[in-house]
This record gives sequence, structure tokens and C-alpha cells, in this order.
Amino acid sequence: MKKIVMLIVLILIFTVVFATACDSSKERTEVEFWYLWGGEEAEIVENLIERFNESQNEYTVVGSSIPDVQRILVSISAGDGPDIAGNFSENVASYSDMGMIAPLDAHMEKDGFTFDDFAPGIINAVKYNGQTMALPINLTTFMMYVNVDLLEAAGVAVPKTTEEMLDVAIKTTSVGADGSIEVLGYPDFPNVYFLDNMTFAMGGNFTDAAGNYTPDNPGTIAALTNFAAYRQEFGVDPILAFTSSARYMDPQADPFMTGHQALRIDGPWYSVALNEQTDINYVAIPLPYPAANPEFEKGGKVNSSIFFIPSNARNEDGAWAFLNWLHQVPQMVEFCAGMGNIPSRISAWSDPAFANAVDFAEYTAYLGSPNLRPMPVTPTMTDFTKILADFAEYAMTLQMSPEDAMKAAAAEAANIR
Amino acid sequence: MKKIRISNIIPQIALLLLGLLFIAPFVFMLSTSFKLPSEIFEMPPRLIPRVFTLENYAQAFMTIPFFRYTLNTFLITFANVAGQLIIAPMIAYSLSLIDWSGKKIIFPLVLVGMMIPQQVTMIPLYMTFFRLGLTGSFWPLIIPAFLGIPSLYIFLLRQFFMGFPKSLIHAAKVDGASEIRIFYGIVLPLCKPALVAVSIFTFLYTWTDFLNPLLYLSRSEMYTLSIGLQAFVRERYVEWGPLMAASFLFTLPVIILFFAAQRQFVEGITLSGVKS
Amino acid sequence: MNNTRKRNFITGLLFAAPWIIGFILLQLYPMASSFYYSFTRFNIMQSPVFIGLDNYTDLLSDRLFIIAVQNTLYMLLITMPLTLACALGISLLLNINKIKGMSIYRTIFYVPTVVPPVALSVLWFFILNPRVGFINAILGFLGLPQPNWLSDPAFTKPSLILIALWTMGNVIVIYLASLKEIPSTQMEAARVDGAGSLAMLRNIILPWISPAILYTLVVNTIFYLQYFTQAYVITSASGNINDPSHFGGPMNSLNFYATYLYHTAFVSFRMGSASAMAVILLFAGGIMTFVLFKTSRKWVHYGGE
Repeated sequence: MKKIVMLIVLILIFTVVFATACDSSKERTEVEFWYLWGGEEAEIVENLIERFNESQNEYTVVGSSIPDVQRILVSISAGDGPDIAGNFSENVASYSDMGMIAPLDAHMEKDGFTFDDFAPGIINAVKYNGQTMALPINLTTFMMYVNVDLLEAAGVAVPKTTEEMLDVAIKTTSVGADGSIEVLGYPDFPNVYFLDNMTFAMGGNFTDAAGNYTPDNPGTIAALTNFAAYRQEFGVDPILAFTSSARYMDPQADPFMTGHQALRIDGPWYSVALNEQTDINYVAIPLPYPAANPEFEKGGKVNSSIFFIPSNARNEDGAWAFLNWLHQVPQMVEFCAGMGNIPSRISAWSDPAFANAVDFAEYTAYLGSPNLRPMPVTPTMTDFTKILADFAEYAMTLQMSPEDAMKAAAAEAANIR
Repeated sequence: MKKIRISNIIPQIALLLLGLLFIAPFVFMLSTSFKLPSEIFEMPPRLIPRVFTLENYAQAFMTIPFFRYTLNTFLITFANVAGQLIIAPMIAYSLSLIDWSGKKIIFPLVLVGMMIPQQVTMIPLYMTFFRLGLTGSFWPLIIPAFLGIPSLYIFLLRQFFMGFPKSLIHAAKVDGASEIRIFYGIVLPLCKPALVAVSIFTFLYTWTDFLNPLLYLSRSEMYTLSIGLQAFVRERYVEWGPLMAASFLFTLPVIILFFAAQRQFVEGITLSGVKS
Repeated sequence: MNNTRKRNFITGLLFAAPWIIGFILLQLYPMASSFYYSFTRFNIMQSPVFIGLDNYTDLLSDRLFIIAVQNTLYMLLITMPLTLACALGISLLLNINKIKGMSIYRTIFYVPTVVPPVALSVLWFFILNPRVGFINAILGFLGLPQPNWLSDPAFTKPSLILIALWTMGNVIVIYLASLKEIPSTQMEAARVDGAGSLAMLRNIILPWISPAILYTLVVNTIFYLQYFTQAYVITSASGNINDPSHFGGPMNSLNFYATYLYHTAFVSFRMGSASAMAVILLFAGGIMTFVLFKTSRKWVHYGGE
């Protein structure tokens, strides 16, 4: 018995040593970079990393594809995180408020890095309490994708107003003999892109001048009313049955990509996917505006993918060196062209790499609109988006009227600490 | 119940139907794992694939670092089994066959410890390991086993030891043997079935554990199979074929373990359920 | 005699030493810490700030917390009794003499319980898919309505019931073993007396296996109070886009106590509030277990009458 115990202990020690040896401590010049992209997009990132490593002798950037925002957060908070993390501009305020991010101003000053060349709309989104907390690599806004063939077959023109959008959606929807939906007319999928964008497109705002949350603003309510009208027409259950078997950007299961969706709200990467993987005959147009308010035209949400340096990063200098390099024009162009993104530097827009980029002209024209807005820069955004999403769901499933739902949301949002 | 056969038919049919229903998910998992994507989307689903392919398994191996995850899971599981095998019997012995007053206090505490929901200790444990700089490593997943936690196994072994023939121990004591010698020389060798049961259940519990790896493992090189599988299903492009293949591969070791040690499984469960 | 007692005490202590360390470090101290943290506000990167009972009062008016409690109660009051009753039914069926292939059946019913919960959730995520899963295929074949199991809020918890039923094997094994211990003489005597099946069930079988029923009740109560993995995997599987506020499933129908606690602690980084939730859970679990044991005196018969 004793011998067996000894043997077990020995093997145990061996395996543990083996295990810890496998994740040996890093060299001094290593920079850990965790990004959210996977698959082909990750390859673009890795190519850039390789170029950076070859271009200088001080730092080695090691990239990891970790498409899970939560996991990255937990690691950072556990002190086991990367030196550079990728995320979205909406979260900068809350992470900064938690003390999770290292400010970049000192680095920027040392290397003469400024935001002069950057699209003005996005600069505020990466600042918190006057300090720069992250760098935006791209600009994301959303346009309406229209399946031209489906509209032609239904005899309707491309919609400009939200009333037309509803009308077009109803007319292009086709229902099968068993009551199930075969072609979805409305931008009901993916659901998450609808409300934020259409709120801004219909002239709404999620906070007021005093900084209070206002989910019950007229834009949101109007957007929800429009959405609910479509669902009322065809029933919530058939629509949910349709969308529940849809898979985002899967060429075989994404309804717009298979020609089963007439209208769609999505971003620049979608243009790339549509062109490379399908033959859908489409156009990308600005989001519609309410007929009574043409001054709201070309409204929508703008945000960006950002990179930040966690406050407990082990190699802050190396992290900054890479970020600085990455956000220079040539690298930014390589990154954004590959991903189908719009670069955040205005001078990069005229780069020949984008001459043939799909819908690039449409997007950059759109980006000049004064009605494009970012989400509010507040530390409690996650709580607010959750409340908004929850109550919007009540309105979208026709359990509450949009007004009642948003009033309830406002009441709850007022209690967020 | 020596009734005529006929009245047994209804229960037999019911059991047959239930049995088929219970097997069905497995069958579909397997059959899907060998199907081409086009066939997977076919409605109604066919039981036996028209074209039998190993492509999904290949895909699973390419997308998930399967070998690495299996190694990690195995390391942690092995360490846990070793830890419990070394520690739990000692403690169970002290709670049953050693005559001392402490066991009246400790045994109830062991029972209480078994009933504490994980979430109650989750955050402070995390903070403790965090302050010790151990988060992000395998240590938080291994250390508890060497301290007897989860204490279910202490309980099981203690129940088992209580039925041990005290006469043997008496005889040894009369001969002047120390407790340690009695424990290692007499009691343990005769308790192999119980020890096997503890090993099996520790293996099962650790191999399939999700919450603890989720909390403590952040770098993907260190993931266990459970985290790896969850990460795989969460990402954008869900391919059913590779997903089923991966699930099956993850499940296979425990199924093999079960069939190899069926009797001990059943004995172990009944030991805990019937004898408490 | 005193010397032997002293020696025994020291030996006992030595043998139990690892557990004592473990209990203090990994159970007692964390519980006390949870208690302490529940009166503070802190995220892991900044030190705790004392705020008194605020976490608790905030929870009372927290809509998501209330929903989490409701959903967890659903599992305790609907899923658990249903599962235990079905397990009992199957055990009774298996216990009938001359059932062919009993050990095969036992294997079939038990194997699902060794399937890792993550694989389980993934498998059922596939089976319940309205497009490729076979559950809806069968329902369609039978001409029955085919619900959106995982996206219709009314069907998400029933989906979990299906999963729970599939994994009730270890309860079946326990009940079967317990049933086998009923002396056949008792059953024979009752039958000779002309007792019907229902009477036998009530007067002989149930009392005899009541300890096993109590055991499974207690164990499953603890299980459902901590119900996490299945809900977490299924919720995260259905999320198409990396949206951190997307949790809790359709209409928060999959928002359970343990998942909400995890979310509060490790996504929202509100450790104080999460600790308050943990403390409440501890008391709830304690009270439930206590009530189960206390009321068990009325209906549990040890060693048969």
C-alpha cells in the first residue's frame, strides 16, 4: 500500500512540474495581445503582429484569439490578463471607472501621437474624465441592406422613410402554406442591431443634457412602434420560429445571405461577406428617417473597435509601441481593408486599398452625417443596455406598448448606481 | 409477483419505449457526428448517414486544441483522484475507527460542508487564490482535493468504515500495533472496493467540472475540455457536425469508465443513498 | 486509561488534520468572508467600501434578482418533484419480477448521468433546435405543434425539465436498490390479504423507501439551488453576437440564482452584491434542508416501520 502511495505522489509531483513548466514565465520583451476576432479575421491580425515583430528588436507581440469579452475581463481583474485587450467603445467608460485601464496620454505625448487625423465623432468615445483611455482602430456604423430582387418582385421601391420601410417589409414578406414565414421582409434579424441604430435614425437620444437615462425618448418609442407593427402583422411566433433557426453570417443559415430577407441592418463587414460568399443583388442605403422629420436623415449609431492597455499590464511600453504602430496609416489600412472596416483616420479613406472595397464610398459618405451618434459615455452602460434590451423585448413581443415599456425602463434606469 | 405473463406486457412495452427514448439522444449525437453538413440539415433526420464521414472529427481536432485540453483535463483529474485517495481515507478513518471525542464535532461539520452551495464560498475563495497569485493556474483546482474537499468522499468512506469488523482492529491493537499501521496495513487493503468507488466518482466529478475551470482558467492553453467545448459552441460559426463529434469525444472516457466499472458505480451510489 | 484517551485524541486529530485545515481555509473562512463582503461594495480591482445593508435592500428591489429567485423556485417546485416522481415510476416498473433485461435498462437509464454537463447541454441544444433537432421532427411527424424550445420564453424551462428527466438515472438506481430491500414476505402477505397495487404502494413500498426519498430530496434541493452549468451553457450557446448584456436567456427565463450571482460577481464586478446573494442562498439552503429533515419525522420510516 505504501509503495503505491509513494508512486502516486511521485507521479503527481512529476505531472505538476510538467504542467507548470509548460506555461513558463514570459520573457521581458513579450507583449500579450488578446483580440476578439477569430477565423479569417484573426489571420489578418496575426499577419500584422508578425510584421511588427519583424520590424523591430525590442518587443515580441504574442496574439491570442479570445472571442469572449467576459473571460478577458475576468483575467484582467485576476491580474492574469494581457498587455493589450480589444473591446468596443461603449465599454470604455465603465472599464475606466473600475480602474481597469491605463491612460495613454503620457505615451501619446512622448511619441507625438495625436487625434488630428481621426474622425471627430469617435474621439470622445475613447476618453473618460478628460483622459484618453483607448485607441479606436475603425469606425463602425450601420446601413440598411436591401435585397433588390425581392423588392422588384413585390413591386416596391427602395424605402427612404420609416413608413416606407414598414410598407416594403410587409409587402416583401411571404408566408408559406403552413403559416410559417419563408421570406422575412423586416430587419428583424439580427435583433440587436435594430434598436440603437433606429433610435438615432428617428432622432432619439438615450441620455438627456443632464446625463439621465432616457429610454423613453420619442426616437426609441417610434422605432419600437414601427417594429411592433410588423410583428403585429405577421405574428410574433412565426417570426421567432424563422429567426431562431437563423445563424448570423453563416452563408447557409443567414436569411439575408440565402435570399430570404428583404431588409437588413448591418455593418461594413457584412458587405464583405455578402460579396465574397453570395451572389445576392443588394444595395446599402442610409437608415430611413421619419417622413415628418427629414432633418433626421442619415442618422444612426457610430462606434468603434478599440484597444486598451489594462492598468495591471506587465509590459505597458511594449503594448504602447505596438498600438502606436498599428494605428499608423499603413497598418490601419491593412487591418481595415482586410476586415471590411472603415478606418478611423480620415486620411486613410483615400488609400487605394479601399478604391475597390465594397460599399466603401457609401459608408464614408454616410460617416460625414451629423446625425450619427455614439452611445452615451457613462460607466453604467452595461446595466442600461440590459434594462433597455429587457423592456424593449416586452414591446417587441407585443406584451407591452412601446410607451409603457420604455417608461418602465426609464423608471428602472433611474435607479442604476 | 408470479402473475401470468400478459400483465407484464404493458410494463415491458412502457420500459421498451422509455429505453428507446433514453438512447435516442446518444444515437443522434453519434449519427450526426458522422454526417456531412448537408445531411445534418435534412428533415426528417436520418438515423444512419447516407455518407459516412470522419470530417467532423477532423474539424473538431483542428478548431479546438483537443490534445492540449485533454492533457489539461487529465492532469487536473489525476491530481484530484490522487489527492482524495490519499486524504479522504485518513479523515474517514479518524471519524469512524479511532476512538476520540473530536469526531462527534467533526462529522456533523462534514455533513454541513457537503450541503453548502458552491456559490457561497466561490467569491472569497477566488479572492484568496487571487491574493496568493494562484488564479490562472491549475492550483485552485487541485489544492481542495488534498484537503478533502469536496467532503462527500469522506462521508462515503466513513459510512463504509463503520461497517468494518472491529474484531480485526482489536486483535491488532492487542498485538501492540499503532493506529497508522492498523490503518495502512489492515483497514485500507480490505477497503479496495470503496477506494475504487471514490476514485471513480472523483474522476467523474473532476472530468466534467465546469464552474471551477471557468473561474480560474483564463488562458486558452490551460482550458479543460468542458471549457473548450463551451467556448466552441458559443462562437459564431456553429457547425453541428464537429460540435457533436467534440461532445462525443469529451463524453467517451467517462462512458468507457462506466462500462469498465459498472458495478462499482452502482455500489457507490447505493452506498450513499441507501445507507445514509 | 487517561493516557490512551489522550493518545487516541492526538492520533484522531492528526488523521483529521487535512480536513481541519481544509474546512477552515476553504469553507469556514470563505463563508465568513462572504458575510463580510456582503456589507461592502467592491470590484476586484479596488478595495471594499463598507455600505451596511445597502446590498440587501437593493436586491429586494432588483427586478433581475426577483426573476432569478422565481426561476430557481420553478426548478425546485416543478422540475424536482416531477423528476423524482418519474424516477420512482420507472423504478417501480423495473422492479417488477420477470422484466427482461433489467441490468440493460439500468445501464440505459444511468449512462446519461455520467455525460459531462457541458456536453449534455450542447447535445440538447442540438436536439431541441427547431431546424435540425429530432425532437421537433418527431413532434412534426406526430402532427403535434413544434415549439421554439430554446427561444420561446415559455419553453426554455421545459427544455431544462427534459434534460433533467434524461439525467435522473442516479435517482432511479437509488430507488431501485431501495426497492430491492423490501422483504418479499411483506409484499406477499399484503397480496394474499387482497391489497391492490395502489394500497401496496402507499402502505408498504413508500414507507420502506422513504429514507431514500428523503436523501434524493435533500441532494436535489442542494443541486437545484446551485443550478448553473446547463443554464449557462445553453444561454451562452444561443447568443449569436458578443453582447455582454445578453444573459438570462429569452425574457430572462433562464436567469437562475447561481447564474445571476456569477454574472453579478464576474461580469458586472459587483462582488459585494454577489456576496449578499451568496449569504441569502446559504440561509435559504439551510432553512430548506432543516425543514426537510424536521418534517421527515412524519413520513420517513427507518428500517421499515
